Amino acid sequence: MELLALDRVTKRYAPDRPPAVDALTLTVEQGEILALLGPSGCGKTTTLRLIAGFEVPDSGRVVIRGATMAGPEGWIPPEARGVGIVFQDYALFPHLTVAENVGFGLHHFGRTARQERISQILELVGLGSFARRYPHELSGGQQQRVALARALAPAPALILLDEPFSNLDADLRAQMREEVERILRNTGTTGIFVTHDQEEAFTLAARVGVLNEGRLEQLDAPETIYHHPATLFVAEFVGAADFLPGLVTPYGIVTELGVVANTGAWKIGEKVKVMLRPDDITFVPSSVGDGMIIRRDFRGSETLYCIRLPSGHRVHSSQASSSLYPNGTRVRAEVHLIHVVTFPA
Amino acid sequence: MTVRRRWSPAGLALAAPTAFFVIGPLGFLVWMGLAQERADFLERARDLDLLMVVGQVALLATLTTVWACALGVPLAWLTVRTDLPARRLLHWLAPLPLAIPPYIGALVYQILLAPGGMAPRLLGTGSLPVSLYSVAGAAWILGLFTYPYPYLLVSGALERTNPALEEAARGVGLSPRHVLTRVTLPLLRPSLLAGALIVFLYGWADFGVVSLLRVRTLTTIIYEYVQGTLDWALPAALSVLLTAITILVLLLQLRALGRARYTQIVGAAKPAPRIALGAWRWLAFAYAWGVLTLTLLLPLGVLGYQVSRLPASDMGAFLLTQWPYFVNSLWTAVAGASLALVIALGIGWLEGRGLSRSVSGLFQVGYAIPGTVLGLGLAGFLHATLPWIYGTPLALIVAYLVLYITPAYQAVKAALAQLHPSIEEAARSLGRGPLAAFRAVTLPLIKPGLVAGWLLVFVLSMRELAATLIVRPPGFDTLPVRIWIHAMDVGPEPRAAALALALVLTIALPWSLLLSRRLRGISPSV
Repeated sequence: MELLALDRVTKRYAPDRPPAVDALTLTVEQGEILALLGPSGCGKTTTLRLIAGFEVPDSGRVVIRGATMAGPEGWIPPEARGVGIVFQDYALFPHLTVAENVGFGLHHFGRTARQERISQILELVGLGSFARRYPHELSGGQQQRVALARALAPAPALILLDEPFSNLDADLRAQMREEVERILRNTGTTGIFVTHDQEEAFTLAARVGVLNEGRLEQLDAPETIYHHPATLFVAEFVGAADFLPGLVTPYGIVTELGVVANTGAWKIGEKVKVMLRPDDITFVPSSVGDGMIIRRDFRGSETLYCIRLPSGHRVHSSQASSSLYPNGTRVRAEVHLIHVVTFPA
Repeated sequence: MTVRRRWSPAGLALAAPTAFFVIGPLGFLVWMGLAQERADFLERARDLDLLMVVGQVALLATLTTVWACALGVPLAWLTVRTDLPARRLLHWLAPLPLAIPPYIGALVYQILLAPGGMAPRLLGTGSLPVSLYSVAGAAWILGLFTYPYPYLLVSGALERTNPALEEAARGVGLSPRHVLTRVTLPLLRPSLLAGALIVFLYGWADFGVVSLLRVRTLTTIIYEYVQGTLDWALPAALSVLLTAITILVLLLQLRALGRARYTQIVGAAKPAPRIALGAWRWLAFAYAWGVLTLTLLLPLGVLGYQVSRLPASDMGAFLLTQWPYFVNSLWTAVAGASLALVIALGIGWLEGRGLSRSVSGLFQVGYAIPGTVLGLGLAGFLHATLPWIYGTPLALIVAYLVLYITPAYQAVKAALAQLHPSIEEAARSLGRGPLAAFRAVTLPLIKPGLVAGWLLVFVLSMRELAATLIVRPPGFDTLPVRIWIHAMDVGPEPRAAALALALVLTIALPWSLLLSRRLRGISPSV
């Protein structure tokens, strides 16, 4: 069932500037977790605010559960949308205890029903014994859990998470990611979260939407986004990528590193760019090789080499961390492409 | 579909009446001032020796500023950045003299220094070589009781200065003396300038002190005219002159600050190391306590002693007769503070929701109008447009509102600025409408700031003299008015001292509450 639909939603903050969100169209299914990924200023937070009702779209339509929230026929304020939000800074009410924070959205409940719901939700996020604490007495991870519990308590149709893990330490981040995913799946809550961290988007979401300058560049499963980026922007923003010029011939696309299959149905004689991920490229040291290692980045689990080709183009190659070649080593680089991705040159 | 408006109906409902009361009096004065023949005005100005008077007021304001800064700025540095003994106590006491209105200070020093006063009698001479009844005497009083303004602003800036800036200067090879002259002092420039400006404008627009010390200034001439004649033209013209120069000085300050940034606040900056004064510390100690003696201990002691000279039963009977005036002061100040706070809160809140900033900008104008001028303008304006307000205590409440809505607004803005917008949005997303979210979340969180703002306007209204004298309905006297009339007609005798002490004690309680609430960032004025 379709839970949320955005239909050509456009939001412009100033008439003389390009729109923050430009004719955005997407749908989210009930129970799905969707990530909106993009660099800062790409419009992902504005998209969340449009869904939540903190911004009014200039045109287009926001539909939740079949009911129009914003569109030509009217606009529903945030308090009537039934959308939960976890803010980047958590926005916990500092003058209320954890239990009062979680119970804030339950003002329509009876007293006992509210108490029950609060303890149920606090158990769910593992904070059962913290009900009487104040937010400032909690750690960052605990505050995040309270924010999630508070948003989940009224059982919203949809929960929005704005860069939810950006204020946490790296090790806590991975842990909270798993936990949030578990809680959302257990409660069957539909979730949309925005992030600029592709790893976060890939591990949490079933589908990832990549935004750039207010436009949706691609909306697909993480694997598709990585291996078959629809645009040059997605290819560059998601994962590392090098591009080699290629010429389309009857035998395939000829590049400096060999011939790759013409999967893009390019016409013969056309010039294209071939995307190369670091794991597509291997090399062997060779005194007659025409490539040269010009940089080595040790990254723990892998070593990333930068190789300069005779044409001056640079490509990157990811190797096992045990592989050790000094700068200046002559090499012969090879391409092993499983997914051939090409763009017009 | 909701449409974003720059002027919402609620915003207009709040802003329009207040704007009406700011623009109205000024417009009235300009209109009245321009209504007369130019030649006629020049002739009368010559009769009044107007140029000499303006020069005298400028001298008074300048002397006051120099004197107040000489008292306040070294004290701020000593209590914040050195190992001065008892610096915490001093830091707490130093702003307290603001609870003594300068006209009460004038009363105190009349008791002490006037011919036949306590000091000349103690010295066995009839009078002192320098008369208190002079520009120098008025500057002495005004400086003594306004020095807390530069003190508060400079000590606040010193506390906020990031010590890393000074360390960075040391790191690139500057000597401690050069660090002081090239980093510390330039960073203090805006707060020093702001403090000096408040004092300068206080001296420029003062009425209470100069009237008691018989110094002729623009404000006393305006008041004499208002009392003595039904002629509006000349006082209106003088009021326009007084206000024009005030606004000019304020604009100069804006220009002087330019575009450089001076605040450098870092979340967890450690406090700057204190400078060891060595052998100088006892001299500094004597200086600090000297300042507090002149501005706080001596005035309170003199007032107390003067009160004790009258038999307790007489004093009791006298105070009982004065009770209605105290009640007048109290309820008009409470009403003024409450009204100012409600309007300031409405404007502050709506500004976060798209209300044009020109509304609050307008109120800053009211803040710059000298009390005498506002009193005159408001009296004339109300008489012409809203006669049912003129001649009732409502006029006083309107005067307090126009004069002091700016500090209330600043307190509200400071409190709201502490709140991230996401806090209120969180409440909205949890099912509360805009007003419900405000009540449940915003209001409890900004309450301390609102209380501080209310107390501030209450204190300022309680001690207001110049506008009250002109605007008050016949027979409706407030405590400051009674004190002033007593001191003018009878002199600084025990009854005036008793009233003054009552006022000081009434102000001192909320004022010390304000200080303990760490309201030091907000600059209360006039």
